[in-house]
Amino acid sequence: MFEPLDPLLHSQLRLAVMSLLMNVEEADFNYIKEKTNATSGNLSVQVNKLKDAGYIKVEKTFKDNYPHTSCRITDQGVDAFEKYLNALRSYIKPTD
Amino acid sequence: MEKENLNVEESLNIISEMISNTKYNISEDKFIYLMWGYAVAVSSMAHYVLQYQFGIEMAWLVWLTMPIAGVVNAVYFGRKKRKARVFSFTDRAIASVWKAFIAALFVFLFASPALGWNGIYPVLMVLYGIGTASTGGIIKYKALTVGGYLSMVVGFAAFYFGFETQLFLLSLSVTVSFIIPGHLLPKKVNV
Repeated sequence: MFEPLDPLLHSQLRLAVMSLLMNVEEADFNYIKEKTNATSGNLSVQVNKLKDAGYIKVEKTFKDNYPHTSCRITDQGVDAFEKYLNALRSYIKPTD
Repeated sequence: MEKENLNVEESLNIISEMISNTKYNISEDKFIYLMWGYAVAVSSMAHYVLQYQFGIEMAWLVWLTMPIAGVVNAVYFGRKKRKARVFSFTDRAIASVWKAFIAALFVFLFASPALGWNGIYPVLMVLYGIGTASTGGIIKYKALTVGGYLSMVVGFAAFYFGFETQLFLLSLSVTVSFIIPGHLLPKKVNV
C-alpha cells in the first residue's frame, strides 16, 4: 500500500528547507536562501507555512544592528519528516 | 516557482542534496590548528634552549605565548560565531570536546604545584591527544585521529623522562597532533 505523503512536505522548496534543517541545529534565513537557490519572497512564504504547521521555529533578532532571522526544526517537524521518509519508502519497496 | 508535484526520485534528490550542502568543513579552522601547534612547539624548544643551553632561569616566561594565543583564539572564534549562519550538530560536538579540554587543562595547570611540572607535561600531551583524536573521530579526519593517539603514546613515554627531555617530547606531541594534521588538511574535509 502506498502511504499518503504529507502535502506540506511534498513540495520542492519546503522539502529542501526541512531536509536542511534536519541536518543542522539552526540556520539563518540567508543561509537557507543560498543553499536552496530560492528567492526571498518565495522562501519567506514557504517558511511561514512550515512555521504555521509547527514544523519549524522562526526566531527574529538583531545581529550587529541588522535584523536576523534564524530557523530550527521542532520535534513535531522531525516527526513529520520521519513519517514523510517512511511514506516515501512505501513507494520504493515492492509491496508484499 | 514552487513545484508541488514531486515524484519519489525528485524528493530523494532534494533530501540528499540538502544533506551534502550542510556538511562541516574543518579546513576553515586550519589556522587555529597550526597556530596552537607552532606556538607550543616553538615555545617548548625555546624553553629548552634558553634554560639548558644558556642557563636562563626565567626561561619559562616563553610560555606567555599561551595567553597571547588564547586571546587570538578567542577573537577568531568570537568572530566566527558572529558571522556563522548555521550551527550544526558537528559544531556542537567539536565545541563540547574542546570546552571540556580547556576545563581539564586548567584543572591540571592549577594542580601543578601538587603534581610538579614533570608530572604535568605528560598529562598535557595526553590531553592534546584526547582533543584531537576525538575531533578527528567526529569529522572522520584520519590524520587528526592518528595524530591524537600518537600524542598519547608520546605522553605515556614522557612519564619516564626528565623535564629536559619532556620539553622535546611536548614539541613532538603537538607536531603529530596539531602541526602535521593541520598542514595535511585539504581544502575541504566534509562530514
